[in-house]
Amino acid sequence: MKWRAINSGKHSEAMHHAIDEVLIEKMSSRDMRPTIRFWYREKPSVPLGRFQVYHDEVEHDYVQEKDIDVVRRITGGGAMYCEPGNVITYSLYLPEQEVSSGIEESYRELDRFAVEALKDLGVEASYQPLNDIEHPDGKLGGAAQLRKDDAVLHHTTMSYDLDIEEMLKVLRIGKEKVSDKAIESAEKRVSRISDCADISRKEVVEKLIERFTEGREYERSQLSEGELVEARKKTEEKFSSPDWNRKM
Amino acid sequence: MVKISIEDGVKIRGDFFIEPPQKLKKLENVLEEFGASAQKQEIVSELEQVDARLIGFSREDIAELYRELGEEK
Repeated sequence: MKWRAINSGKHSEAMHHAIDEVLIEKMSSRDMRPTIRFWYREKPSVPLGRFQVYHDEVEHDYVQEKDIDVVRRITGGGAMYCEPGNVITYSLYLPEQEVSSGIEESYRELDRFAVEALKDLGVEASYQPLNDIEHPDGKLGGAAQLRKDDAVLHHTTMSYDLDIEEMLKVLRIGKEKVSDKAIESAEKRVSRISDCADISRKEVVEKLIERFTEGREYERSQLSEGELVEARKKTEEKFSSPDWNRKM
Repeated sequence: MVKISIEDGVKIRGDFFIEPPQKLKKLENVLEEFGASAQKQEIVSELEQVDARLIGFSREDIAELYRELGEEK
């Protein structure tokens, strides 16, 4: 079973989520090889958890003012703040039978390669159930999953060099005002790869690919034209629409 | 984190996971059948009839939160 590894393609936040939906649907009908896809973003954005309430999680006026795209994921979990070049997001699409553990344990199983890659690079990473990649100084990243007819979508975002002060203005993390105290406590909770090791984002992605493809047959590839066309349609009809993004 | 609102029908919201996602509505429908004074175990039993995997929260959490809301009213 030859994996497809995609490490290119800059898209809007809406388009990225549309791609995720297209590819998990293809995986579930076994119309696709298992794939790992790294995301490249155009601008800052907030991927929102599927079951979250928009106004509870996001400072609406601020994201409007800063033109930050807020898109609801098809996976559950929590909202994150993402900046191009400052986070690393990847999606995995694979058959359920390739995952040896139950749902809860599968988060750790599917991100094991990432924890190992970070450790290879001198970052003291570890996994915390349910779905967190942790560093002693704080949370480095988190994952979310969706299962569809024996196929698994698992995607993960890690902070490379995220602007945490900005994050606190964008996300409503139980703090009404940005104060020095608030920044301090968040900085204790959020950790960034660039704070832990002197490596470029590109080096991290290459190491992730190296670790992921160990023992796997794979080829580097891109999204097909058909996949892009389908994703653009979903971007227009669903992932750009307030009906989907703000419905809850 | 889970929260329940009852202003505009019952809504269960938060940063949890549920498989399949469509079953969230069924869980909400179950709660709608119960008044404020329902017993926790009664609610949990009915929620268990909904065929779904809850990840990051439990049916007990839902039942407890719902009863707390009922007590506030």
